[in-house]
Amino acid sequence: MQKNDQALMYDFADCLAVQTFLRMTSLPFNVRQRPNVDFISPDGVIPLLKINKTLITGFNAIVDFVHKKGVTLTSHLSETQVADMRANISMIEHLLTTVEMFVLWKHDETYDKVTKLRYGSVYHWPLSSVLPFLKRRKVLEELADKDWDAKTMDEVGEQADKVFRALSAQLGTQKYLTGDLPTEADALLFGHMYTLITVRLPLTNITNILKKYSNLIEFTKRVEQQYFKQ
Amino acid sequence: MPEKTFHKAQTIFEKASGVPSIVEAVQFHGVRVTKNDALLKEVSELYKSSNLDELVHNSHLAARHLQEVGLMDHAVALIDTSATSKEGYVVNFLVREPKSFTAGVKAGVSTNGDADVSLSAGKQSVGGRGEAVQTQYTYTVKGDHCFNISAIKPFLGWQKYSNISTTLYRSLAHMPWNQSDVDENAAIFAYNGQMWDQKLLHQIKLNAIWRTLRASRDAAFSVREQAGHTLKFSVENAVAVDTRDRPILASRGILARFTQEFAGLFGDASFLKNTLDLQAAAPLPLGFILAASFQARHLKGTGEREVHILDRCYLGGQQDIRGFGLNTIGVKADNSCLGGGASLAGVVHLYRPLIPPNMLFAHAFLASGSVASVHSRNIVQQLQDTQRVSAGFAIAVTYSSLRVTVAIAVTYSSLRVTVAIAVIYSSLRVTVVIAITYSSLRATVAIAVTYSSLRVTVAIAVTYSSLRVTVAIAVIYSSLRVTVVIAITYSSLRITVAIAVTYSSLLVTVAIAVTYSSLQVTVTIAVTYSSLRATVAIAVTYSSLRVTVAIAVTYSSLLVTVAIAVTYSLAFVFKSIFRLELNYTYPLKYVLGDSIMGGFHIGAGVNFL
Repeated sequence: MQKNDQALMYDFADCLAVQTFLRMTSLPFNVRQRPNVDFISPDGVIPLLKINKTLITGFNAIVDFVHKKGVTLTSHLSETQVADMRANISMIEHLLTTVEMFVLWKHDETYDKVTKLRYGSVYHWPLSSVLPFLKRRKVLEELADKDWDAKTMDEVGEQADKVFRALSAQLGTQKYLTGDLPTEADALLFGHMYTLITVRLPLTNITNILKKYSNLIEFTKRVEQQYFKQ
Repeated sequence: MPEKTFHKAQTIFEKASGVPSIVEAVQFHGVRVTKNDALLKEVSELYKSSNLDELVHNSHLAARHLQEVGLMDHAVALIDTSATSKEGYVVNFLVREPKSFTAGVKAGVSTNGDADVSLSAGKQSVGGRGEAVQTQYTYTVKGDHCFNISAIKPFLGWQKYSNISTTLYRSLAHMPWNQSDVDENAAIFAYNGQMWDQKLLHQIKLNAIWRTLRASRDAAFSVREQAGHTLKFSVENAVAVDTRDRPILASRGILARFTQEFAGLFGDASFLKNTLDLQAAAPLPLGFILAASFQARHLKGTGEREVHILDRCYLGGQQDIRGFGLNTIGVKADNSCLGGGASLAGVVHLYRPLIPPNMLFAHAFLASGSVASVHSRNIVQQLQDTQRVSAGFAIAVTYSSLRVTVAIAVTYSSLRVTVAIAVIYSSLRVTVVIAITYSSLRATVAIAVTYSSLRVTVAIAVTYSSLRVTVAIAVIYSSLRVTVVIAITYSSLRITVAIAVTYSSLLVTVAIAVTYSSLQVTVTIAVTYSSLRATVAIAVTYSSLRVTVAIAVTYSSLLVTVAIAVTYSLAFVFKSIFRLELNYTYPLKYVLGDSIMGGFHIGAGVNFL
């Protein structure tokens, strides 16, 4: 993640998750970065997969689409394991993404020093100041809808800890969350873990909490080694 | 100066070039807010007139200029001889300043063919030097909105037609041709001026526009990938020669205009766009008018990115190549039109004025045009290969300076409410008066048609209790008045025919008007000889509110009547010139995949090719 990159932590994590998933399934693809991707996406959801004239948005929809075409990473799993995997995905998507949104948009120092610059980086002045302001207002409304607006940084840290603890327990000493073979949950987990470990933010407490769970860190290094360092 | 008789300028014009003249004074009558220095700039040239012919001509020019720059609503020059010297003259300008505030409502058809309604409000000559502020809000049935505020300042001086203006607008519009919506927030600064003895018109515009393109579900990916926020800063320079007799549906003259738009110093857009417009019109025998228009555009991207879809050249629609969907000629992806990098369009028209002339026209046309893609390697070849042609006929309507006045009067004595609506078009005036009286439920509809100084009035009165129909036909020409009244009364079957011929001397009216700023007090005393009737009326007018107190004393049965009336009037003025066209079009030559719109269609707007 470069400093002049527009993608925000959770968007970057989702993009990385989709890339990891496609690499896991060995499907060919190439990656394009566009400054106006949230407008190209018909429903504003990122990332966006384009196959000929079909546009698929979001991690889950892409996984479903690939599944419908007959490519799947979950054929070896029992129904209970699939349900567990879905629960993990849901936890990462809802809880962890909200934690990341909170840090980026609610925490003033992070907003001023990172989010604002990064989000506005693809626009010329005065849009580079106006658009982050408008986006912040929208995200804060979303957080308020989830009753997250009154939370303190410590409470948000606890939520993050809860997610990491659950995922760490699930992983244990296994290679992947559900055993020796990767699933889409692993792709999503890797996307978020890698982003949290590598991102440089003024606020370090989420990363510090993550460092307590050494098996998650090991998992991230392992997946990176296997799918991105060849 | 009521004791003097003034003659029309034609009586001496072009016969008095040998009569020397010295302007002794220039006087203005009716000035309240206009600044002295502004008037001085406008008329100082009059003092340089060396003979009477020149003075007559210059006075006329000055009066017209006062109106055209927005200093006055109305101005007439009266040239008077001086009391002291034989060669001396005094020029009097009778002027009416613009209303303190104007408001308007307009319903029409937008260029896209939607019905639209706009509300506008403005103030003319804000600081007494011709400055104007206008605001307008428009919305169409399909949901487009536009809010616009503009300020304009003219440069005053002898025959100077230059101004600077600033416009801020915000608009939300649907673009059916590439199935997307665009939000625009813009600031535009413009200078309009003239060069070379006023023969060359010159305009410079600085545009700063923040645009947000939102692709709809059906939009092609080529449109979708350009969606989002873009910022355009551009400089536009236009030079034009215009000898047409009127800007819309000219009957003679030419227009040649060359516009260059350069974007790229700031913002996302970087391109150079050249536009050449040519128009010519000439009268033919039997009242026919032959007109031709030609437009060529070329667009060249100067940055790394390809030229944005919002900046490209589009053709097609009721205003240029009739018979094709609006802006749909050119390269397409799925159902979206992507615009082009160059375009050519030409239309040949044949017009025949109908009745009323200069307003209604029969119209036949042949239109042709083509658009080349932004990536085209051989523009000329592509323009030739993709030519479209259509032909058809139409009824064209043009109108200008239409004025609607609504006056509501409430009279106390027996509770009476009158609503008068007047529609004024050039010198034709139609008035509809609806009066409702409380006590005996009476409705009156009076329709008056005034043309120049001739006035015909038809009044129909329906009274509830005893059906009464009155038709009054009054023909008034200047000071001679002939009235014919036919009244039919239901209950006792009465037919009255009254013919009155009035020639000014039977009636004595004394009117005294005291005007202070926008407050006006009028005292009217009328003495009628025959049955000895004296009326005293006092009217106080402040801006558009008017209070009248009338006291009438009638001799025969010694009756004293006191009536108090309060009138509030509101005027809607449509100064913009406009053209409406109902046409039947048949596309003759087209390319597969074009959205062809043959048959009957309505086009409206200002810029017709």
